[in-house]
Order: sequence, then structure tokens, then C-alpha cells
Amino acid sequence: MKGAIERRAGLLAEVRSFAAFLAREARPKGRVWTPFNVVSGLVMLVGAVLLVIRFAKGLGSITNLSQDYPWGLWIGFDVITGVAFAGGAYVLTFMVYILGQEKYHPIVRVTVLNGFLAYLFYAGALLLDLGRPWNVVNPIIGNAFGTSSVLFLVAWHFLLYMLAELVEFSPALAEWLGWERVRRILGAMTLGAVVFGITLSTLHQSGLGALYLMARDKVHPLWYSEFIPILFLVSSVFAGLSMVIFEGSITHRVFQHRVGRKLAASHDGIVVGLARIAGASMVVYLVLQLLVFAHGQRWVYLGTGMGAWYLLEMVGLVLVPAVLFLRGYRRGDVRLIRAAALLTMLGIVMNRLNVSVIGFKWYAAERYIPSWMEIEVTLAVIAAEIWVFRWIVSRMPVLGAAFERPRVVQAEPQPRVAAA
Amino acid sequence: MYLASVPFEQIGLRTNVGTTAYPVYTKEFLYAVPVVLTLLPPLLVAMSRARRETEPADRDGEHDEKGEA
Repeated sequence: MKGAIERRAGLLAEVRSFAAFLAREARPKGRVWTPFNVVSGLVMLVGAVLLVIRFAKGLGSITNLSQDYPWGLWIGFDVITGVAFAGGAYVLTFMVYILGQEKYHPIVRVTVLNGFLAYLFYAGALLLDLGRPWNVVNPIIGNAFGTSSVLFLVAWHFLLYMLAELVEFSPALAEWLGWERVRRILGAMTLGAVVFGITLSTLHQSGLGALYLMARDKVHPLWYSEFIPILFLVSSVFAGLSMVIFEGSITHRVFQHRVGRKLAASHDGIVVGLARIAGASMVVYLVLQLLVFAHGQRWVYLGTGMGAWYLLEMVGLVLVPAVLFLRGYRRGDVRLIRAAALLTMLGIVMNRLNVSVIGFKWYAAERYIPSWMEIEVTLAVIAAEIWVFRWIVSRMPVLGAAFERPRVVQAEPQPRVAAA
Repeated sequence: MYLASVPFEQIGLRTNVGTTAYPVYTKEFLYAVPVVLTLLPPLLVAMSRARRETEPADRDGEHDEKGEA
């Protein structure tokens, strides 16, 4: 009897100290009224108001979407482009856990976190775009098993891949909470999650392209081909890596105190290595594009305005950054590599939008142009993602910690030791 | 169903809609899905194993070695 009461009291104290820990962690670290916070906070506030209007009055109230253009910026940019940028996670986990390139280990966690948040927010933005968002569960609960539909595949893969990335990232969560045994169990699941995650990524990165296979007569012939799925898959490799390089250059400036000396010292080497892989995959991509170009006899379109736009994408934003990447790798020039990453990301945005928005129904008299409110909501989604990312990175062992391992975790275990 | 005594183009109906059923466009892609889903994971596991067996000593990695097989 007495033992039970003691145990209950102990449990209560445990819960209380845990709640206190969470409350402590929830508080902002660092200055609140920074220019970035004010601007992004305003953007999110306006976005929230717009979303209330959208859900109260329907899609037509704030978007320029119509029966003729049901997929606009929220799909073309948030989902299709966002997922391509999240590709860094599967590429890096492949390199580290499958190929055993330990050199890249220090940035795996932050990349996986980035990928996970990208899926959570950008694929989550899908909900904003659905006329009846609650129906999103239908493909999952079997209300409509559309096994001959690519969208069905993509829906399942998004869900499963988010779970896989959560498992990949979960050791950091457990370390933050100071749950050593849970961490060990989750750590043992990493390889399984990685294998599963890479497989899923291969399929849904290409699956997003496969969605457009059905729009044969709607996508401009310079961007339509039977090989869209493969082109999307290959381009997601360097899209993801460019994002990793870009994100790294910002993270290392903003979170200097979290990076740790070792990672700070090895980071340039990591970036140079990534540049080589990105550059090589871009060469592969260009060869594929060239084959598709010849196969589709696309030269007849080159003289048109769309042709110039296509050349700008392929030469200016794929070939040029590929050369810059490889040159940056040769010279070990990190700044050149960062410039290449930026150009590459621009090229990816352009490519995805060309397929999904700009080149979509290119012949129509009345074209879709996103409303300012659609752009605002997109910016709000990005701002929200950055806030959550920052919150996690400044609390959990994401940067550096992963490979300066024996170090004990930030989570102060003292109160709970006292309670036990 | 539309019946007209004039060509469809003249009354603004699209005539390039084709005769292919929509599922046909993506059939090949969807056929590749189970193949990738079943063949890629064992390939990845095999690669990771082969790598680890050729490496002399296992470095202290993020993952625990136990229970990975």
C-alpha cells in the first residue's frame, strides 16, 4: 500500500519535472524583437487571416484557382518544388548509412530534420489546397483505394516517408528528452528507416513527375515527355544537395554556438564533397534532358518565346551551375559552390513551375496567375517552417552533437534524478 | 455527347483530346512501383552489409549495430 503511494508520488514528481522541462524549453532563447522575427511574424499573421478567409469562404475567395486551373502556386511551388528540395535527406542518408561515408555524418541530422519539416509544411500545405481537406484521409483508410492512380501512391508515400524521417530523426528527440533507453531502441531502427525512406523517396520524387504524364496535351512539349518521372528523380538529387549547401551556409552563421568546433572545421570539406556529387548528378541530368530533347524533336520549339525560356532553364540554371559546382570542387572554393547552389535552386523552382504552372495549358487564352494572397500564404508557410526549424535546432542535439557523440545531452537530467 | 452539323473546331470544342484512356498514361510507371518497392530495399541492405564487411573496423557511428540485420 505504502509502496504504491510512494510510486504514485514519484510518478507525479516525474511528470511535474517533465512538464517544467518542457515549459522551460518552450520559452524563446535569444532576442525576440529582431527584424527577422518582426517581418516573418507579420507575414504569418497575415497568412493566418487569409487562411481563415480561405476555409470560411472557399478557395475562390483568396486564390485565382478555377475549374480550368485547379492546381496553382500552392501545388506547383509548395508541394512539387518543396519536395524536390527535401530530397537532400534521402541522398545524404544513402551516402552515410548505406555507403558509409562518415565524412557526411555530421550534417545528417540537420538534413533529415530539414527534410522532415519540408514534408510536414509543404506537403502539409496540400491541405490548404484541397476543396474538402477532411477527405485527405480517404486514400489512407481505404475509402477510395485508387490503386491505378499516381496521386494515391503519392499520398501514401508522403505519409510513410514522413514517418520514416521521424524515426530517422527520433534519436535526437530522445537525447533532448534524456531518454537514453528509448534512444537506443530508436537508434537501432535507423538503418531500417533509411532503407525504407530511400525506397519511398525514389518512388514519390518520380511519382510527382508521373502525375503530369496524364497531362500530355496540357504541358508544353518542351517540358512534357514520358521521362518526366526519371527527370524529376534525378533532379531531386541536386535540388536536395543544393538546399543542403544553402541551408548549411545560413545555419552555420545563425547557430554558430550550436555548431561545435569539429563540425565547423570539417564543414568546408563537406560542402566541397557535396558539390562534386551535385555537379555529377547535374551532368547526368543534362545528358538525360539532351536525349529527351532529341527524342521529342524539340528543336522546332526553340525559336519561340517558350524556347528561350527553356534554354534559360537548361543552360543558365543547369549547365552553368553544374560547371560552377565542378570548378568549385576542383578549387575547393566554397563561395563559388554556394553561388552554384543558389543558381541550381532557382533552376529547380523554374523547372517545377514550368511543368506545373507556367508551361501548363500554355495555349490557353486566359492564363492562371497566382493572386498576391496565394504568394502571401506560401511565404507564411515558409516562415512557419523556419520558426519551427530554429526552435528545434536551438534546443535539440541537431548540429555537431551527432558526431561529437560522447558529450552528454543538453536536457538537464538533474531534476529527474532527484525525483527518482 | 455532342452532335453538330459543323466541325467541332468551329464551335470552340477541343479536338486534340486523344483516344487514350487516362490510366494508360501512367500504367508503366505504376507497374514499376512494386518492382522498385521489392527490389530496392534488399539491394540497399546488401550494399550496406557489403560495405561493412569490407571495412576493417567499424567506426563509432550514429546507429547501434545491434538489431540491424
